[in-house]
Amino acid sequence: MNQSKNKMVEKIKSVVLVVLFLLTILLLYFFWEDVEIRDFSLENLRFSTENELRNTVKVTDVILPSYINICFDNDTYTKISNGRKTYWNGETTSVFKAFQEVISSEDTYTEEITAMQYEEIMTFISLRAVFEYSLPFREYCEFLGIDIPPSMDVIASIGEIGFSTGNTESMFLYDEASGKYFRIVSDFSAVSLLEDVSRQAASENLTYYPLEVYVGQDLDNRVLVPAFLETDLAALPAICTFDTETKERLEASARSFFSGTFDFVRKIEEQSGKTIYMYGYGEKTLVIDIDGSIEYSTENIDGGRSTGGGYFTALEVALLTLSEQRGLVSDEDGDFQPYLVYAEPLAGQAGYRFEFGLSAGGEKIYFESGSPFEIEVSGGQVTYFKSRYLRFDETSVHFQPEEVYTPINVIAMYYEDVYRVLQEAESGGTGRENTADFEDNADKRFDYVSAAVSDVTYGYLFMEEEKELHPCYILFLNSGNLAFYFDLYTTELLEYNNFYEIRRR
Amino acid sequence: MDWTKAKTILIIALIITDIFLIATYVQKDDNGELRNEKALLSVLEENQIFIGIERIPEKHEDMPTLSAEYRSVTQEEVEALIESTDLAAAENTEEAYIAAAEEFVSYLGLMSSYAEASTVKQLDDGTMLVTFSCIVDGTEFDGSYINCIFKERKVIGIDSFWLEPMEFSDKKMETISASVALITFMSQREEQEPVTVTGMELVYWIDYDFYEGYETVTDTALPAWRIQFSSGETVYIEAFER
Repeated sequence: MNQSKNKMVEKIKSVVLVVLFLLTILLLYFFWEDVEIRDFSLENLRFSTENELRNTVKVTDVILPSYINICFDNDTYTKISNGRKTYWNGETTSVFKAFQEVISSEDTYTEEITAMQYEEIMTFISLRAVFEYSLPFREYCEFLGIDIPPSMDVIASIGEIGFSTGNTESMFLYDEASGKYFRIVSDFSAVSLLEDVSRQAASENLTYYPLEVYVGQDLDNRVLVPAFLETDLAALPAICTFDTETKERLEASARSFFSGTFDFVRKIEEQSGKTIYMYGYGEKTLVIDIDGSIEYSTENIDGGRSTGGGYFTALEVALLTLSEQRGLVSDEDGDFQPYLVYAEPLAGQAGYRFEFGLSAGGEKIYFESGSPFEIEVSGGQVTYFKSRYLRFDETSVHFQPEEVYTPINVIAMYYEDVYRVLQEAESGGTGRENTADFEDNADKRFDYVSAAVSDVTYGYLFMEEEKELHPCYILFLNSGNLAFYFDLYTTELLEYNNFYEIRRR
Repeated sequence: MDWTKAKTILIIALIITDIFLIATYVQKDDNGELRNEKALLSVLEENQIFIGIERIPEKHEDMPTLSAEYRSVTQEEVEALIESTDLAAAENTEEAYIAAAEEFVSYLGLMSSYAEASTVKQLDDGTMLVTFSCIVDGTEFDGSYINCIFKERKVIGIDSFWLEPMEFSDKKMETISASVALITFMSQREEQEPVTVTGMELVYWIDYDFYEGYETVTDTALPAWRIQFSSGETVYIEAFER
């Protein structure tokens, strides 16, 4: 009898011991984390699920060249835009790995070369990976875990990375920030890289020629234009407004901007359908409009004095926010592949501004209002976020292929319209000074427009009124600060953007 | 030492630890409160803030936010109703004016279970004004009102800015005490002219200084300490402890 009683007592003591132990752990958590008991939830103890980690867009997913130009041995070229990832870091060809090998070589020699030398070496069988956004060289190498020698300190940024059969022991680099060209000699040989790249590119890509070949004048900008173009892009209906289902996701996503809770948050709904969430005295504001736009802004905690860790730390913060807000920007079931369009330090304060693009069936989507995602990071936190919600059926991107006008035809047909807009824009500011007026000379107007072209490509333009992704040519001028959109099949001028003005807002 | 004794020692040790942690936590929680009213009054008076009320309110409970819907009527609707009903107070008493006002506001579709007649007063031009305030669970929703105007006992108009309470937030948040609100006011004011507090209470309030929407449909009111002064001025101090 006594024995069974003792056993019972011991069992009770064991249970009490476990309970007290767990209570101690919980109380220590409240004490150290400074959490109010009423605020506690099991969510606080939850680790990120594997699914959440998998859905985060990584830095390596977006640090890709904007396009890769290949020069073949018969003065022909090709331009790889949509498939650039497979060339940048694919299974058979990897320019990225070549870059890493050169930079991490034990014995390297860096020297500055002239622009002419650079262009001359690129006339051999060569490749150029072009980055249209700012990418700081040293920070990128540090991010990759590579210690660079002091001799490479002269390189501020990566504008282009090149390899050429003209000198296979060198990697060539254009520094956008300083406008200088460099050659880095190492024990890496680019022979097999160039063989693989040129063989693969020749078999699967269109032939391009430099724009200056078509227009018959020497141009500062190296722009490649396809000799002919056959495309199968179809116009896609696209929805940018929120329905009942998305509104529920919106509420959850909106909450994440306010540390996961609407405590202290004022919610205002307007007759137009716009919803505003406001924390404090406008310290944080989130506006969700019925046109599918979402805009968040917050005051910088430290007044914009610290970057909070540099370019890549800021980029990681931006990508984390983008991944968390994925439900706000697209159909959650779809393939979400944003790409980096723009990256620059903020003006007037520490931090960075990033813009990301969106694609449909591998083709880039352009918006009349600028990039679909704009994120500013300062002091380690997102201080500005803007996105456009868009939903479309990616399986309907392609239909019957058909030949279309070439971009050179488009320029020839519409150079007067482009010139007019260029004149107006340059007087207002596009980053390029207009020093001439050719009202009385059509040839000079054409030459002026040709000289301003910095890139020609094709993709989709989201046309808001028509609620459609419309296949189009995009003509970029003035280093990408101006963009003109032409219907891919009819060549009608649809729209133009002055990014210089948009980014100065 | 056998395991039985070890368990007993561990249990005692954990109980002591837990008591210590709970006591530390509770003490930390209490440190925000200002307990010495005399010291507070002295500090306020040094800064030219005088208390003209009997006691500074002591009670302040945790409160939720309050979402509300804007309700309005057009001038045409009011005029049409005045013409068609010709409502008037039965006699020249407060109760009669209130009854007539309630009837008129009901006909307009504005009457609410949260509307309470708060004042009946005569204005300088001889008109009578019946004011309905919005009271939610005993707390006034400041800024939400309906004024019913009478002339010679007849209803001649309505002046309203009515926010109909919809729902409270699921969660209640801690509010600051009246003492802390006064200290906050003291630290925020720029001028040093003497002021006398004649009223102080917790209300629901929407701060329009930082956002006044265009054709707003719904909004969210947060608790605030309303401090009224002898000069007629009113100041609001956000009551949530951030």
